[in-house]
Amino acid sequence: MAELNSFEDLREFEETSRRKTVVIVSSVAALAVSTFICAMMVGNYHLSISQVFGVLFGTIHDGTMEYIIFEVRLPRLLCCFIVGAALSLSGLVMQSLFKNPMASPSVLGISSGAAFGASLALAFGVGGFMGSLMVPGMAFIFCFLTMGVVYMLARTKYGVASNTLLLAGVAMGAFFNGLVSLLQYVVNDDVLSSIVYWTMGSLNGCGWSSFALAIAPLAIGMIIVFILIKELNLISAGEEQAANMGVNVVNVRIILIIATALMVGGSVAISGVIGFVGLIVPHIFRMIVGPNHKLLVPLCIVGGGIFMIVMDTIAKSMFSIILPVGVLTSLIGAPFFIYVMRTRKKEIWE
Amino acid sequence: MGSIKVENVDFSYAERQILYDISLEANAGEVVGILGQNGCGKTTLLKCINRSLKTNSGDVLLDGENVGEMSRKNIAKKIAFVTQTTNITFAFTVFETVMMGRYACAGDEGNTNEKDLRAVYEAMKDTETLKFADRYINELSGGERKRVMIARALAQEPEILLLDEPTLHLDINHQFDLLELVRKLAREKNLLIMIVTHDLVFASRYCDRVMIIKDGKLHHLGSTKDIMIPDNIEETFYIETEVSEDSRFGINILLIGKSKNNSDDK
Repeated sequence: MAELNSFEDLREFEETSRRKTVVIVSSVAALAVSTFICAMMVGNYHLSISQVFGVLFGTIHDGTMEYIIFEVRLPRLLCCFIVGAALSLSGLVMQSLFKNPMASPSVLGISSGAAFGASLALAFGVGGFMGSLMVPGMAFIFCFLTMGVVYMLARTKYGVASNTLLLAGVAMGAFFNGLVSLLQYVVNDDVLSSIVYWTMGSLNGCGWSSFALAIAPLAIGMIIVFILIKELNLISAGEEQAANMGVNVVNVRIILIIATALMVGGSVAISGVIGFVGLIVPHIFRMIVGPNHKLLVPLCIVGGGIFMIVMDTIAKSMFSIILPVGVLTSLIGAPFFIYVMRTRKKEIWE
Repeated sequence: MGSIKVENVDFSYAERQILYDISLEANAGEVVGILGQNGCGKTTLLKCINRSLKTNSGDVLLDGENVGEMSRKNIAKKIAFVTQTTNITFAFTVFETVMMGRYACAGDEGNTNEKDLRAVYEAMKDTETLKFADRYINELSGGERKRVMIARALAQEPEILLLDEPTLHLDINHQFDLLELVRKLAREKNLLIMIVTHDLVFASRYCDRVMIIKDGKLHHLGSTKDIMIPDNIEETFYIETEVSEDSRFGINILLIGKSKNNSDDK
C-alpha cells in the first residue's frame, strides 16, 4: 500500500477497509445461502435444485417433497446453522475475552456442566415435570449454574482475574466430567448409550420444536455480542488499556459471559456437546482476516453456520450409518485447522 | 480545563502500603515529572489518578469532580493513560489500534465519523505513525509500538495525558521527538501532562515542575529549577550530580556517579 501522507489518504484507507469488510461478509453470506440450498437437496430422498426452489416458492405441490423440505430438512438445517453460529461465536468471545488461543465454550466448564445436567436427566428419567424438555432443560439450567459457580469461585475482593476464571472453569469442567463418568458407570446399558450418544453431539431428530427451543437464547446472545463489538475489540487488545480508554471491563465481561452461556446452553440443549467448532472456526477466520471483531463476529456467525451444515450433511449422507456430527467436526475440523495454521504465515498471538 | 487535585491519598495492595498521604495540584498547560526509585509508587499514583486503582483514603478531583464518582467513559474523555506495556495480544493494524482511542468520544454516536478520523489523523501525524497505518502492531519494534500507543492516547483528545516511562524502548532521536511533542501539546493545546520517568536529564529539560516520591511519600514538589538540585537527587537516587543553568535548556544535569556518602543498599 502506498504510504499515507494526508488526511485524504487516511480517509481513503478507512473507506477501502470498510468496503473490504462489506465485500467479505457479503461473499460469506452468499456462500451460506448456497450451502443451505445445496444441503436441502441432500438426504435419503434426493431432490434437484429446481425441486427445492419449486417447493420453497410454492410452484411445486407435492406432499412428500413439501414434508421433506418444510418438516425435515429446513428445520434441521436451521438448527445446524444456529448451533454452528452460536458455538463459533461463543468460542470467539471466549478467546478474545480471555486472550487465550485454547479458549472455547468448554473452557469455562459450561459444556461439561450442561453435559452433566443432560446426563442426570437421562439417568433419572426423561419426562417428569418438564416432559420432553427435561434433557435440554437440564442442560440449559446446568449451563447457567456452572457459569455462576465458576464466576463465584474466581471472585476475590480485588475483582475477577481472567486467568483465575479460566482455572476455575477448567476445574469445574473436570469435576463435571468426573460426575458424567460416574453416572455412566452406574446406569444400565440403555441409559449409558443415550448418555454417550448425547455427549458426542448430534442434530438427528432436530425439528421445529428444537429450533423454537434454541432460537431465543441464541438470538439474544448473538445480539448482545453484536452490541458489544467495540468493547470486545478493546478488551481483546488488553483489559487495563481497555479500562483506560473508557470500557467498564468488569461489567462488559459479565455480560459477555452471560451471552456465551445463553448461546452454549441453547446449542447444547438441542444438539448435545459438539466439540471443536468453537475452537477452530474463530481461529480460521482470525488467521484470514485478522482480529477485528467488526469483521470476525459476522464471519463467525455465518461461517460457523456453514461449517455445521456441511459437517451435518456429510455425517448423514456420506456413510452407511448416520454419524453423530460431533465426531465428524473433530475428525475433519482438526486436520483442516492444522492445514490453515501451517499455510497462514500471519502471526496472531503474542 | 484539565486540572488535577490529589488530596491525602493512601493506597495499599493487601497489607502492603504503597502511597502515604499524597497531595498535589496540577493544572492545564503544565508538564509535571514524577521521579523516584523503582517501586516507590510512581505508577501507582498515576493509576490512582485515573481510577485504575481505588484509593484507600483521600480523593482525586478531576476539574473539581471526584474521579471515584465518575464513569470509566467520562474519565477516559478527560484522561488518556499510556502505560509501560506495549503488548497487544491480537495483531490489530496500527490504524485499528489508534482508532480504539476514539471509543469514549465516539461511543455515543456509534460509527466512525469525520471528527474521529480527523483526531486519529492528527494523532498519527504528530507521532509519525501514519506510515505504519496498515501494518500489524506485532510487526513493529518496541519503540514504534510505543509511538502507536501514544498516538492512541492522543486520539482520545484528552485534557490530561498520563505517561508512564514514555521514552522506554525509544531511540534517542525519537526520545527527543516525543518530549518535544509533549511540550508542544502542553503549550499549544493546553494539556496537563504528567510523566513518570527515570531520566533525570529529560525531566529537568522538559518538565515545568517535578515531584519526587520516596518510599510512597511525597518528598519534594516544586518547580524543576528548585527541586532538581544535587542534594535532592543524591538523597533520592544515591548518585552525585552537577547541576547548572543553561540559557538554551534551562537546567543541565551532569551525572557523576554513585554517591560516596549514601548507597542504595542502605
